Amino acid sequence: MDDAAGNDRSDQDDARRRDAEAVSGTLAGDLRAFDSLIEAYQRRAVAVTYRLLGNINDAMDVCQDAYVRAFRSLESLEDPRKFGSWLMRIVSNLALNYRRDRRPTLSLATGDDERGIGEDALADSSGGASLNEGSMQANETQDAITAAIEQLPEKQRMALILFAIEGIPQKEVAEILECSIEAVKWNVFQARKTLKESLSEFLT
Amino acid sequence: MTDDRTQNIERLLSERRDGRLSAEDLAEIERAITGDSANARSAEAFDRLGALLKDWRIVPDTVDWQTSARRVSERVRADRSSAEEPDAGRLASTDRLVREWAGPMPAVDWPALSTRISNAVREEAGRAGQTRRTRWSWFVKASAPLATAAVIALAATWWITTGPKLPIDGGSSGASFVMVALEMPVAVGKVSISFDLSPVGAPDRPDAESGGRAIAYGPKINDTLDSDADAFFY
Repeated sequence: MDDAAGNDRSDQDDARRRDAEAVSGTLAGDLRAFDSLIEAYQRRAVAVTYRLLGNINDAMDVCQDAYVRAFRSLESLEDPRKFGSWLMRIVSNLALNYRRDRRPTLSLATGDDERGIGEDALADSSGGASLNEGSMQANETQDAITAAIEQLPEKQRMALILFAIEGIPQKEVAEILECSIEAVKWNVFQARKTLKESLSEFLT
Repeated sequence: MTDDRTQNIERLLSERRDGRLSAEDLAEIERAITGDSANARSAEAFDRLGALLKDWRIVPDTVDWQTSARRVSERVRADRSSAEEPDAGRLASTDRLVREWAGPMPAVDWPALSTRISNAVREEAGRAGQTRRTRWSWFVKASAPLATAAVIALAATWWITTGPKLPIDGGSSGASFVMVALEMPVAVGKVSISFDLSPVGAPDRPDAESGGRAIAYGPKINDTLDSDADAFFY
């Protein structure tokens, strides 16, 4: 396990060094450097936002806004090596604000992946691939998980999604949420404990 | 098992699949699972929960990431372009609006204006001089009574503390008197008291008995006492 942890740290150091170089290049006027940052973090940003919002188009829009904001305020980033956690903080805050501002239109009966009519094909319109309509039990489980996670306090929800679901390292989650690593561990534990109780019928 | 230990075990069980526990913690988990079926069920429940959460709200596989990245890039470039718009271009319309609002400058008789300003300044200067004189006279009027009152107060204080004492002369002038009490009055006897009225520091005079009244309090005296033994002297 120590070797694995050491490899993780090495990979993370390499990633941070690349981020710092890309930030410097962007500030020097090279927008292709910022493109590399987009490619490095867009999947993680969209995944976290999608889990928070439940709608892929909303998630894409929020992530676009987050990247634009990050670009505008790139000079204010104190440590360019921490671009990733800084961007995820922007993404998380925008997603949470979006959640608070929108009216609750999510229907548990239809499932999560609501797509607007006439959307261009960022996703395969013929599929509805994220949902297997024939599997009512799977839908029921997904809806139950959604409802249970929605009941969690915000900090626990964020810590659970970032660490337990997305697998972001605890140190980085602490940077994103601006708290200690112990706080991250505690919030994750409390969230898991609560979900184990509320989803007990699905865990046997 | 204490609540803390129970909670600690539960926490370790929840973190079992995170891949970040020490060998010691993993050993403790194994002991807890082996020795207690409730812990074993709890561990399975946490494992199952982890699997469910991993499958929850997965981003659709059909998302076109290249297109998404290109759109973000285009939007960033568009945002930068709008931010770099020349200030002159943006502000030119504002300048035009301000000029239209202000209107043309009316014709002004500058020499007449100059004369008028000068006269007003001279007039103001004269008033300022009067104001200074007025200010000084006010000061004198206000301060003189205060100074006079202070002098009177000082004089009265001096008179009271250092002025000549009034003579001790019976009750004619309401002057000071000295009361003498005998600690051990006797039935008969004579007490004489003399006063030295000379100023303090003056040499003692032999005829210091310059008179004065004295009252000596003693016990009640029998009426048979003769005049030489009057109990009360004055």
